[in-house]
Amino acid sequence: MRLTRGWRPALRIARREALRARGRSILVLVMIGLPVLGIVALDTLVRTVSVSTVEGLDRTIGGSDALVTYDGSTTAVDQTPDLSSRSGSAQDADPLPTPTVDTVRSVLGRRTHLAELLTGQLAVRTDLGLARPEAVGVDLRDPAAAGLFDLHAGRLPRREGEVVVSERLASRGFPVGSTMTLEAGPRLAVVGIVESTTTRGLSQLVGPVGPAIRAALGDPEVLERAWLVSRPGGVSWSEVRELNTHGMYALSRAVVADPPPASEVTAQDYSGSRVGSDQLAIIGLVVAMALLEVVLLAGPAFAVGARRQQRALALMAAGGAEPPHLRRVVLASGLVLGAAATTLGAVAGVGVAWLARPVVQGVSDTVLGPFEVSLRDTVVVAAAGLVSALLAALFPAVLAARSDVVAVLSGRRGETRPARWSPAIGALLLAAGVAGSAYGALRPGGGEVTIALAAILAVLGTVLVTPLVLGTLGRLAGRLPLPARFAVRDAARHRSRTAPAVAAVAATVAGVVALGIGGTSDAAQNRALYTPTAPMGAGLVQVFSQTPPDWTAVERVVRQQLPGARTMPVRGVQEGGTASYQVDLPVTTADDNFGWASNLGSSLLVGPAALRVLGLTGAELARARDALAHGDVVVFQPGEVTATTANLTVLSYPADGGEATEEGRWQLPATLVSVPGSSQPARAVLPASVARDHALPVRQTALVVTGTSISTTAEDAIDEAVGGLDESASLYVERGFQDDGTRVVLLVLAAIGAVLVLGGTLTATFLALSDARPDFATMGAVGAEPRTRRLVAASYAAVIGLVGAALGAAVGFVPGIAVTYPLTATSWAGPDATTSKGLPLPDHFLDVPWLLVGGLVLLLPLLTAVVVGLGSRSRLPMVSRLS
Amino acid sequence: MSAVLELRDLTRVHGDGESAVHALRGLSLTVSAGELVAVMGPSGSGKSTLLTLAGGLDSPTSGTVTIEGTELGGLSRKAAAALRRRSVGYVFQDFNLIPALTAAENVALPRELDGDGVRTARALGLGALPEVGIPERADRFPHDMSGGQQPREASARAIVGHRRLVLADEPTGALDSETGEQVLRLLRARCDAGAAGVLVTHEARHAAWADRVVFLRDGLAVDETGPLPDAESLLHASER
Amino acid sequence: MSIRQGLLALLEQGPMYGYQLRVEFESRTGATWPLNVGQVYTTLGRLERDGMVEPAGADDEGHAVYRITDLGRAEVATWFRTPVSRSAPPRDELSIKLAMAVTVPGVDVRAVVQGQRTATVRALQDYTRLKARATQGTAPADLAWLLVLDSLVFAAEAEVRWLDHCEARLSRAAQDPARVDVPSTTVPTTETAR
Repeated sequence: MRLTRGWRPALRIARREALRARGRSILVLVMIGLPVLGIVALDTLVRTVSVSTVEGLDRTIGGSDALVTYDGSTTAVDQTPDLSSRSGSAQDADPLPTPTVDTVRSVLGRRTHLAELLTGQLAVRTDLGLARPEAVGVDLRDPAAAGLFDLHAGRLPRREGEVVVSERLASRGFPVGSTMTLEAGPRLAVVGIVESTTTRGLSQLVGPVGPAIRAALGDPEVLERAWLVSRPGGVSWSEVRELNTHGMYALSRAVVADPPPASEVTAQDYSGSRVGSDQLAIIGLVVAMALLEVVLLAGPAFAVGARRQQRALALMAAGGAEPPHLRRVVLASGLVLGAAATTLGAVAGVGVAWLARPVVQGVSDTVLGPFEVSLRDTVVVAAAGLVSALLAALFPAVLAARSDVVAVLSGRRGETRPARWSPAIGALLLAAGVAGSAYGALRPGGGEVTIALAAILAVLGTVLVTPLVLGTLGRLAGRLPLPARFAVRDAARHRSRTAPAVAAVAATVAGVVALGIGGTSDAAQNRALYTPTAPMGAGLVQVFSQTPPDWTAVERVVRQQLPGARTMPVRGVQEGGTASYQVDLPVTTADDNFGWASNLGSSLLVGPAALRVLGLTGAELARARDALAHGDVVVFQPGEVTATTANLTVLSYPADGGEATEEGRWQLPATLVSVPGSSQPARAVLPASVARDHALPVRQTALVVTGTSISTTAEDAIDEAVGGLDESASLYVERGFQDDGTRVVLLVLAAIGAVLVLGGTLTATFLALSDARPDFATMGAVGAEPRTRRLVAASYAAVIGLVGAALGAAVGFVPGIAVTYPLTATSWAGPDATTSKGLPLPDHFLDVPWLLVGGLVLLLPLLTAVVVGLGSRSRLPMVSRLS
Repeated sequence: MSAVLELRDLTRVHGDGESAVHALRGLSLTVSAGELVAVMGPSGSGKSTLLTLAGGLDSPTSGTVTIEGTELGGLSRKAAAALRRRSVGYVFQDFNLIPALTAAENVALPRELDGDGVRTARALGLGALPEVGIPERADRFPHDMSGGQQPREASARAIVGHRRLVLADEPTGALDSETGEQVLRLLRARCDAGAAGVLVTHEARHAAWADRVVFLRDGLAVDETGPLPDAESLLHASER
Repeated sequence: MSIRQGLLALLEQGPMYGYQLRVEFESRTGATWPLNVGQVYTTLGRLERDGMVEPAGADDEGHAVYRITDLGRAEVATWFRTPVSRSAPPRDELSIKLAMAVTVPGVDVRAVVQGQRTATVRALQDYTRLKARATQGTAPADLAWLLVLDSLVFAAEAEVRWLDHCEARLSRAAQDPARVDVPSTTVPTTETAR
């Protein structure tokens, strides 16, 4: 074949060269292999962690043929075959009767085996009070339930009154052999410990459905029910559709295994996260940046390889080789090393993922699925790695084919002059990047993608401009001390080796600076707009469930952990259910969609105690107290609104989803207050008398803990204990604005940036040092002290690091500042919003992470230089010629 | 005349065991001020080893090297480097000009390494270049210079300052005989001005520029040729 | 015979008398090959006989001046054009001496070679010293002197190299007697180990 014939000698040369120049080959293998390894390992782990319907079928439907569920729908429903999306039907005819076992049998036949599966919360008595673990009513000995839970200790329940519990619940005082008493009185014997095959760490109990559990779970309000269906031949798609007409859903093993054609499916599948064009653009940009980094980092090694081969190539040219032949020799080394690197990287990536499974399981509550390697993804990643290797070799290859044969053979090997057009194009790209950033910043509504695209253009421009910058620096180096002058001039002379490394550093720093500015500015906005949930240092026990928790038990837990604490119940109007309570003003406000955060369990609070945790201070607090004392409703409303009355409306919603009916409407005297910030902590606080007069359902909605400082240890202990009482209960401690997220992001950015900057700097420095061997020998011979080599090494690292970082910082600031405009825009907050200090909002926030920028631009290169200087050999080589 | 370079009973073994190569086996040689000694011998005779030992770039397996009364064996690497900068000039076969430095900077390299400032060193380099006949090339880089200028520049680097010992390893390398002769004339002139010189070469024609010629064979000086008292007598001997 | 053509070449520049010719000849060849006046006049006589020079009277001081003829000019031109023949190598004492030394038993050939090399290198040094002393002018006379010196230098160098080569060949022969090309009456030895 012509193709292989043309390439075979080139590949042979490349293979031998790769084996000969071990150090350089290993460098390339690492630069290309590591990213491949990382991405393949990550992809494999993500695929292993995520459990698809097929993979998770046994966890969901156990050993049965289908899981039929009913969620209280009164109309026919629709579903996708794998039940990833479901919907009730819009047309409301006569309400359907609630389906029963007989309804299911009418569809699937009399012989069908049905195992009931109940889920809900049970109230269990504990030392502290009532706890509400999740309860599952199912006969675990039924083969239909096999696979839902794994037995870890003890045995499965054999009869009613016996239950098994999860590790978590067992550790809360219900070990095997103990007895648990339900709130209603019945006692259950704990006979074993099981763990859900889906989610770990839950507080669960499982037992066969008997009177006790049914009584506890079969609340008439809880309309949901489910059956595990077993039937020879399984459940077909048409039977699933028929169950749908009765208002039930079904997840059938047979249907999942052999899905019906799309034409038979009417339900829209909303589950697949549809990738928008914006997301696609972002993914594309990330991939492009990663490729660019890899190409730039691996480039110097190929440039050095090509230059070492220059004489051989010139001899080939003298012997009749054409430029394409010469290009092929250099490209072939990209091919050989790239193939080796991607193969090793991919295999090692799968291995690393395999080894990392226990670690991942340790931090994930979801039980991992089967180990899953995507051949397609792996091949795509490996191909990208190979392409980056070829791209990295491409530029040196083109240069090598262009070099002057006569000059090389006569020993006057100068660097080929850089093409004049490349800095020009670079400048154009830079200009386009700046312009794009400006456009993205000023464009109303979401210019982030434009700015990211502009940033990539600017980085590409930097890559093309770098050789010019290096050349200019080389000419200006005359007055520097010897090691620095040598380093700068050598860097400028060997542009094909230095420029990619400098550009890699620049690209990294640009990215980190831009993202860093975006991140800290975002954090600055969050800090400015932060609204505390409770007074500084106070704790707040919140519950988000319909059934109220055992507040006395909660209070006992708090007192046990914090003996000196004062607790104060917050009371409010109970929301949810079929009734709705609204407070509004008789005047139209400038901006009506003003939000309020209901951290206290209700947006309508009752009584003066609540006032202390709503962020009111000074005169505003006194005013609110007075108002409540006088029987006024305190309404939170910012801005220039005046009103002396407010309307309280009670609406009732029918259970079947019809029109709301107004149950009552009263005009009440009101006082308006507001707290600074972009949202208000509640809608209103009612005097207790008002609630009583209008028969509003008032109950405790939260518990405020004050009077002592709450350590994080105590916080964790209380949180765990109240979680045992009610899964949805938690303790929140107000510690002011916590910026852990941004700090982590900045740390990760700094780490990635440092690794890449180090990579680029070290690669180019060590390649340069090995290239400069003869020069060191000469210096040694004419009397250079051993430390000269160290100084040159340090200077080299400093030149690459500083030039790259300075270029990168300059380029990164533009999109970084630009992106703060769309990212921290405050137009949504409304004209009356203020910062949490009550100051007017700026139209965007800008905060530069100077520590990160300074560390990356100055500190890291200098530190690298020092380390390189100390770490490099001080011994000067001997003059190489020894006859 | 005072001895500038004194080599005593030098042996140098490269490697060990089976693969040991005895480059020198007990060589002694003294070079006085004003004297140029040529070292000849076939490939592998130890010529270059002798030169690296004499310059303190390498240490002998046994024996001593003394430069102007200082025994190199007792010096730290740092002190040896300082001695090289101040007292020893090297001319290499491949000239070994540093491509990142200009002509003036290359010439002044030893002075700059010795701590002279950039300007002082440059002035020194500029002063030395006319001596070798390339004054107008001071700010060019080596790759811009012709094949004839590079060796002269390399020689200038070896003689700049007041070096008392000039060591030249095949300084005429692959040069044509005319250019080679120019380099040798520089070397000769330096020695006539009082420096001691060692010239390693395998060409008798070049060795003849020396006052003495030492032949190395298998690590030993096997033949030494001193000058005849009267050059004219040889010429007129052929009259007979 | 180069003296004959050398004198003709000098006369081509203008008429000269005998002593003048001798002085010119020696100055141009650096007195390497000294001439006596008798030799000059003998040669001039032969040239006149062959019709290549003719008497041109006497100068003010009464010296007999000679002038070149057309035939003489042709002879000079031919001489410059024709390469010096190497077909009949001049008898070389050194080669003969070494050839004899190798074949005559009891002679230390290496000592002969080293002794000769010492002498030749000394000669080489002397020529070089003369070269170093010579003015680096570009006048024709200076150039002529340097060329002659170079010729001597290269010839001596060639001899040194040849001697080096002889020595190397001799030492190889000493190490491996079986490979010596000299006729030998000894039975082939079994000794091959070093």
